[in-house]
Amino acid sequence: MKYVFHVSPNIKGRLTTHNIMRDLMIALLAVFACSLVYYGTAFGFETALHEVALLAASLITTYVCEFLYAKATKQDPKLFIKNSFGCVTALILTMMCTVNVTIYAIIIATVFAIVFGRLLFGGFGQNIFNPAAVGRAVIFAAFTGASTDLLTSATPVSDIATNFHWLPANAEMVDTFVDSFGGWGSMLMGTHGGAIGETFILAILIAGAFLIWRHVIDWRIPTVYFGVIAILTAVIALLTGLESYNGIPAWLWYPAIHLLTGGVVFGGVFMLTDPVTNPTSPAGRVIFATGAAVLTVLIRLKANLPEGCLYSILLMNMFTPMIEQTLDGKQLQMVNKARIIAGVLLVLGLASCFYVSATVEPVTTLKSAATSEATSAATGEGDGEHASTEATAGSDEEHASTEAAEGTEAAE
Amino acid sequence: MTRMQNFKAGLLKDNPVFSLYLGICSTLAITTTVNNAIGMGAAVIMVLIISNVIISAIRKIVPDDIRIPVYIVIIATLVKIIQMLIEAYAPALNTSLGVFIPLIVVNCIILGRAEAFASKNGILDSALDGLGMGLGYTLAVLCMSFIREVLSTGVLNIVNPFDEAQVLLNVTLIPEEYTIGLFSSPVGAFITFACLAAALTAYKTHSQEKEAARAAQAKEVKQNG
Repeated sequence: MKYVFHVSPNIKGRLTTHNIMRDLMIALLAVFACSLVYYGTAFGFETALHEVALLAASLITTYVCEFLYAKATKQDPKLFIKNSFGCVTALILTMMCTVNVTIYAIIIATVFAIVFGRLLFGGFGQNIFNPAAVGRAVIFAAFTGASTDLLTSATPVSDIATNFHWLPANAEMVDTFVDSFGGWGSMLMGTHGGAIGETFILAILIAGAFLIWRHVIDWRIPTVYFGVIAILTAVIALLTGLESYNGIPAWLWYPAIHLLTGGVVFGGVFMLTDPVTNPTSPAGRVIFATGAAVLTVLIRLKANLPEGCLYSILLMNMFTPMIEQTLDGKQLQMVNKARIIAGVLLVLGLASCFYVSATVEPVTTLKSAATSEATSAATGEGDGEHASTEATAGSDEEHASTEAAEGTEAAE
Repeated sequence: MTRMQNFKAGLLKDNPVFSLYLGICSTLAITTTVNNAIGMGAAVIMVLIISNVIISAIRKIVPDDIRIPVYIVIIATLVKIIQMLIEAYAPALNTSLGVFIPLIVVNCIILGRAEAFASKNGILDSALDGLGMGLGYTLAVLCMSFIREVLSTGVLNIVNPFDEAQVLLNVTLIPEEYTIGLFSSPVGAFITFACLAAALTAYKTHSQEKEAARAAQAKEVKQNG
């Protein structure tokens, strides 16, 4: 008789890295296909073709980079690429970009995302920052001017940031904003211009539910992220005295605008949940998502950047090792500590809401002068001093435009 | 170490910027254009040679306890002279380099060489060391500024520092729609610096390994023979 001896563990789980990544790819591709259909029908075949070209360029660049890196470090390229999952990064990066990004810009951004965001840290599983977010930040910093003229209409993010400073004061303003992007139905569905991944919020949520069901992502992160954003914006709505919208009180419609506009849904479902760059413990994940939500709201309302979601993700990625270290040890004993930290974060967020509410003014009249700046517009009344230090991308030009906008406001 | 080896060390092997990591502050700040790099490099070479010579000459009469203040006084005087000269003869360079000319005083390369080399060696050796280290610094800032200027603007533009109107070189290397604006910002400076430093370290490790292999081989041949 022959004995077969195995070293434990003897039960193999379904959740191998390959399976997780396959599920993630399926979800992402489904959302991508939805946006492809939307852009193809709404803006013509050429736009959809450009979208596919962007994805292809990003994927090819990823594989070339990984092949060269494997060669340079004397590893087997085939095995390296198979275990590196660069395609997920390429796909998320493409979906964070707007359709009018040039092919050249996405190639450079992919090189930065793959080489500096991930390979130099040691490859898959070692990176500190979400590589796709690194690539998107590169496009923000380097190619704000360079875009093809496939789509010239402003995105909801740039529009609400430039014209309304994220604070439309009354029903009339909200209607002006929502109607320029096809009404509330369109806002809810996401069928309007914007980043590729921001299209079809409904599809993203369904994909997120699928991933949660498959245990690929943790339900806590998106839930806490959306929840804290809703709480903070509701508090801001109450404190700044926004008017009700057709009977709906301000603390309901204002959070809705924040959640439906921009990359919050996509970022919360696909980027904050990146298994490599978020804490491993559930308690740590709650803290992580809370911090990201506070930063998102703060950056949106007070900084010189149009969108806070991306930078909040990058900033919280930096704190992941710290959260891990704080909550190291026996998890049951850490629960109290984690509760205190999350609570303190939330209180800090609320305190900053009070500060924000005291310093920003709801926009009651539309300024036509500011509409010309489409993509890289300044938010809030951020005059250098108040602009948060993280917001390095705020260029002098933007300061100038904000000051000009303030000037016209004063004149009125 | 012979004089020549000593001089050469500053260029690559012990390059002050990419190998000793000295004087990085000014390196990161002024390398946006090649013009700035040339001006800064020239100023550092001048200060480094003269301060090394003076400190080497007085090394035996300076009491050990107060040597650092003495060095600082000498270096600060020299930097002030250089700054006034630049202000008088190359005003454009003065405005573009700004505060980083007076900051040469606290550039670690100069104080570092004074402490580590000039205070222990003769005048000629110290002068050569100053020239080597200064050239190493210039080489480093030139490399960085070349990469940053070409990638961020696409144009390589060199003007005569004493006469702004006289353009020595103006070539477009990259068409404007393909430039990467990121490299003119501090982020680009850090990325360029990290890549170049990594490349130099890789080169150094590679050559060391090669040398070790050669030495082992020679030893083997000796033993066998």
